[in-house]
Amino acid sequence: MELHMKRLIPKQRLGFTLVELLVVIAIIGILIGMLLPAVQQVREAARRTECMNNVRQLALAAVNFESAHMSFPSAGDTSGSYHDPRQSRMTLPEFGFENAGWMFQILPFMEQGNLEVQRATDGWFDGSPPMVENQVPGFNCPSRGERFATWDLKIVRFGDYAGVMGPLADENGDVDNYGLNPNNTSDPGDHEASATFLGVISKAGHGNVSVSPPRAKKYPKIGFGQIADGASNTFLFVEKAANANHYNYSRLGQFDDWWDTGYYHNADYTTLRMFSFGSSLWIGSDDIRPYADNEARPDSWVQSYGRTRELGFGSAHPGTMTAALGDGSTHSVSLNTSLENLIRVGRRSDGFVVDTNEL
Amino acid sequence: MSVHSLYCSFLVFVSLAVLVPLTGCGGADAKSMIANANDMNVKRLATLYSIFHNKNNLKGPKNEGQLRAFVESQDPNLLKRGSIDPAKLDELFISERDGEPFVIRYRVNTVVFGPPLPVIFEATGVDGLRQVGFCNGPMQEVDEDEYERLLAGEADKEKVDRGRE
Repeated sequence: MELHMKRLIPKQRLGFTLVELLVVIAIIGILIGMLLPAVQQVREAARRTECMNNVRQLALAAVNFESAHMSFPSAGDTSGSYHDPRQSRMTLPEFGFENAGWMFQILPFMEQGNLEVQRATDGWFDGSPPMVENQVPGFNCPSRGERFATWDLKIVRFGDYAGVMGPLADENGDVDNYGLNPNNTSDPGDHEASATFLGVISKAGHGNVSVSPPRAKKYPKIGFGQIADGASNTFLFVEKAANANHYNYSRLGQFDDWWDTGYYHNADYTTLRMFSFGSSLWIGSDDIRPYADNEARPDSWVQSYGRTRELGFGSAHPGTMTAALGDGSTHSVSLNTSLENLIRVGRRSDGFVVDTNEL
Repeated sequence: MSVHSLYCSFLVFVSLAVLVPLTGCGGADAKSMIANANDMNVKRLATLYSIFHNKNNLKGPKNEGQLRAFVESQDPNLLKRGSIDPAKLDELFISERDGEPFVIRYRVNTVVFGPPLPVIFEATGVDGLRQVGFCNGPMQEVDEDEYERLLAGEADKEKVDRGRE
């Protein structure tokens, strides 16, 4: 009788059937698919805000630097002093001016004084590990993440923001489209010796170490007094272009990536933008117009190992890049902004005042 | 398949479906990139030759003894990134592919902005191809003619187009 009753009463279910589980999984998958774009948009907005905050911190550090030194941080010495793998010249200032770049110079104003003092012991390159292996919070856009190159057994950390050096103008007002001599084994050119840079982060000087004793030329320092267009109308820092396919890579030669070689770099495209182009050398308007990180690059930019030369502006944020003005404020600038207007805001005393809200 | 295992699979699936899009898959790690760039003895020796070169006024080591002494003087923690053990230098100078010692060009000098220099050569190689390690450049696998040309130093003064120099 008891056995008969057991047969009649249905057995209590212990779990879900396979069909039920598949249905639930499918529903959850659809919901995630609907939600994901919105979540990613929110995350990107947060990253863009953080990126803007980074640029603002850089600008405030530069303004504080100006208060302390009566001039903005400089672009340092000629790029050749950085690229020279012997490097002994980069472990201390020489020739009476700072030879490291602006990102190094503002470290004490970003609560990174402990990193700055490593220069004397670990150098930019010779330490174990070298000073430039340290990631500096605030030097990188969170949408790109940590950026670095490996070189031999070392790591070179990149920054995502560039100072505005501008082109070189000689005493006649003629603009040199390139505006800097990358070599530290030659004197400044005739045009360079009597010229000034048109941006705020000006080259500090040019040393030639191929002669004994070395020869050097100092350039004028730039403070608020030299920003005739007004600090609130002149760029201080902008976001650099970067190819999303090569955020990080193994560097295989001494100089195969000279356009992006670490935040310690001095007067060159690694830490600066020139805000000028022309056919007299090798920079066209397409080389420096803003590019989104995931935008296709011209074939002519492709270098050894498939990397691309990046000399202009750009961003990983949809449609905009971030820039800081000389007064410490930050703005989102459309990637479609005309190069002409960018150049006007980049030059500190060209007489053009552009409403930055229109950029 | 039991209900329990299905339930576990379900939980794992949901967790991954939620967490992977939110956290991302993770980027390349610098130290693993260094390890990958130095995954063979020919690459490791070329790396060490490059470091010597860059720290000695762009001049190559005079002989194997000088190169070995240089390696032994380097920070073990940096060497470890390239799986280089200073206590096992004899193994480092032998190709894993053909089991023979490398042929090394010493006293190879260059100038700033100079070309990559072929310095580490497999003696025999595999299937007619031999690997060549470059100072300041990527490793190449070359045929007999190219091998002889590189070994003779004919590529040392080639002009490299870097875009502006």
